Amino acid sequence: MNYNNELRIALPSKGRLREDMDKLFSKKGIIFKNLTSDRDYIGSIEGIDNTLVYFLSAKEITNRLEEGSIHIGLTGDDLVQEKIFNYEKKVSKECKLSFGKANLVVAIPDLWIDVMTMADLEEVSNIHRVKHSRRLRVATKYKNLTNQFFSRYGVVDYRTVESHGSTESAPFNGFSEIIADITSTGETLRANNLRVLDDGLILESSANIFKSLTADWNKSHNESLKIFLAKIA
Amino acid sequence: MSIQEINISIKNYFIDCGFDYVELPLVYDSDIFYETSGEVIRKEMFSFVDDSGKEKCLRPDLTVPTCQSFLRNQSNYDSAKLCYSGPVFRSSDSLEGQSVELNQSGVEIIFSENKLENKLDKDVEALKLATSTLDKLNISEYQINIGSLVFFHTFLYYLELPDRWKQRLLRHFFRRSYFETLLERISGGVGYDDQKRKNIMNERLGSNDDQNLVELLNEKELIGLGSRSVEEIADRFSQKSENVVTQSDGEMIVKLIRGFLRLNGKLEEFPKILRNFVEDSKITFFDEAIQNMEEFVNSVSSQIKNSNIYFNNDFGHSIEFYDGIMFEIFDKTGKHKLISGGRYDKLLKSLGSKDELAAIGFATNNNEIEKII
Repeated sequence: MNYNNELRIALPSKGRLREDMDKLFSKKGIIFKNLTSDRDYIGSIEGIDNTLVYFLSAKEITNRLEEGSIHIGLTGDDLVQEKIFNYEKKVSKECKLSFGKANLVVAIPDLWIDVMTMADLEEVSNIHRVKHSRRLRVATKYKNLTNQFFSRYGVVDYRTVESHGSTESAPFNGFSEIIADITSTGETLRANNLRVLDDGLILESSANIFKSLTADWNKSHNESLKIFLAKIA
Repeated sequence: MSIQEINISIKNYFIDCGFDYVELPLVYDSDIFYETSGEVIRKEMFSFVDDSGKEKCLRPDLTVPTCQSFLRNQSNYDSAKLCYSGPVFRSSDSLEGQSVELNQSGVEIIFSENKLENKLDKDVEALKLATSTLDKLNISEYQINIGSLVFFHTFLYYLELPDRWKQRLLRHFFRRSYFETLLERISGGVGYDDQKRKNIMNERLGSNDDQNLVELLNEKELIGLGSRSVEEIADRFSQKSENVVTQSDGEMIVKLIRGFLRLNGKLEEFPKILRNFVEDSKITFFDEAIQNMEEFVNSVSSQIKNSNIYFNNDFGHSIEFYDGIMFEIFDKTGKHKLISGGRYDKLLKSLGSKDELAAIGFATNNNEIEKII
C-alpha cells in the first residue's frame, strides 16, 4: 500500500493522557476504525480520508515529531520543550487541549525558611559551593528546561542529577538538595516536606496537538489536518 | 597577510617584547572551564565524553590553560610574562557562517601587586602593549573602550546596602538581564521586616519566637535538609531580617547605581564627568576614587598617544572572570573587535595558587584582524 498521501497522526497509547483523550474524542465524535483490538497500535479515523493513526508513548510521539516521521502528534509542552533542541523550529502548536495539565516547578526543603525566591536560591547555592567545595544538586528529569530557567535567574553554582522517577524523594534520601519536577496539585511535594519557590514555576504544561515542521507536507495532508482540527475544536 | 602569518607575526612580536612562549594542548578536561569561565564560554564549548566517561573539550579560551601551566611551575617564580598563539574553539548561533576555530594571540602578565611602585603600572603596561601590537600591524586607527569592575565595586562599597546585596550585584554584573532584575528588586526594598519575618515563622514553624529559631527548627523532622545545617538556615534567616532596606531607600540607591553606570565619555574628560556626577548627586564619599581615576588617566595619556580612548562605567557586562580593569579595542568602523583583555586577580587563586598573585592579559582576535588588513 502506498501511504504517501496519508496524514500520519500519533496519539498516546496508554495512561492518563490516553484516558483524557478518549473522553475528549468521544465527546467530539472522533471514532477510530480499522482497529482489530484494543491493543492495536495502528488504525485510522472515521470521516477523514487518508489518515493513519499510530498509538505510541508520549515520549516516542515527541521523538517522531522532531524527526518528521509523523505529521501531527498529541503530547505535552514539557516533553516537547525538554527533548527537542530548538523546538520552535521543528514543531508548531496547532491546538491546546484542556487536559494533561502539569507545572514544572523548583522545589526546596520546606524548612529552608530563609529561601523563598530564586534569588535566595542563587545566594544559597553560592554559599554551598564555597562551604562544601561542590555544587548544589538538583534532581530532575528535565535537565534542559532546568538549566535554561536557572540561568535566567543567574543561578550557576549547581548541577543537575538525572532522576528517573520518584524525583520528590531525592532530597529525602540524600540524592540531591533540591528538585525540579512536574506537579499538578502539589500534594506529593508537601508529603515529602518540599515547597515550591515563590517564583519557581519553570513551565505551565498541557497536552497539545503539535505539527511536525520537519515532516513532508502536501496538499492532501494539509486538507486532512484541517478537518481533524475542526473536529477537535 | 594570511591568518597563519598574522598568528606568527604577533607571536614573534610578543617574544621580542620579552614574553615567554607557552605551547598548550588543544584538549582539556571540561571541568576547569565550567569552574572558572563565564556563561558565554560555557555555552559555546565543544565538549565530548571520552572512553572513561570523563567530559573533555576543545580549548574555548587560552587564559585559563596559560595560568594553569604557570601554576605547575609556580614554586620557581612569583611573576611571569607569558604569551601564546593559536586556535580556540567556539560553537554558537551568533557565530553563524564563521569559523568555529578562532585564532588568538595573547599575553598574560602575572605579578605581585605589592611589589609594584605604582598600583596602575601593569594595567597601563598591558594597554600600551595592546596598542603597540596594532601599530606593529600597521593598524593606526582604532578605538579603545575601558571599564572597571573595581571602580563599580568601590562605588557600591559606600552605599547603604546589605553586603549580601553588594556581593550579588558584583556577581551578576556579567548577566545583564538578571542584573536589571536585581536592581528592580532593590528598588522595591529588601530584607524581611518584622511582619514578614513573623509570618514566615508562624507559617513554617508554628511560632514566631525568633530568640529560639534554632530550637524551633530542631523540633521539626530534619531529614532532607539537603546538607544545610539548622544553624546555617537560622543564621541566614536572621541576616535577612537585619539591614532591611525600605522601598524609598531602595529607590534612591538604585537611582544612584543607575546614574553611576550611565557615566561614560572620553578618558581625559572622565574625571570631570565623575566630579559633576558626585556634585549633582550630593555624594561626599567618592573623592579618593576620583583621584585614583585622575592618576590612571594621566598615566595612560602620557604613554598612549591616541585620542580615541573612552571610559564607560557600564562596560564589560559580557566579559566574565575579569575583576578589575577591562578593555576592548575596535577598528575605526566599530565593527571588528580586534583585542579584548583585562585584569583577573581572582582566577589564579581559584585555580589553586598558593600566593596572592595578580594578573592582567589580553588576546588579539586574529580572524577579525585578517579582515581589515
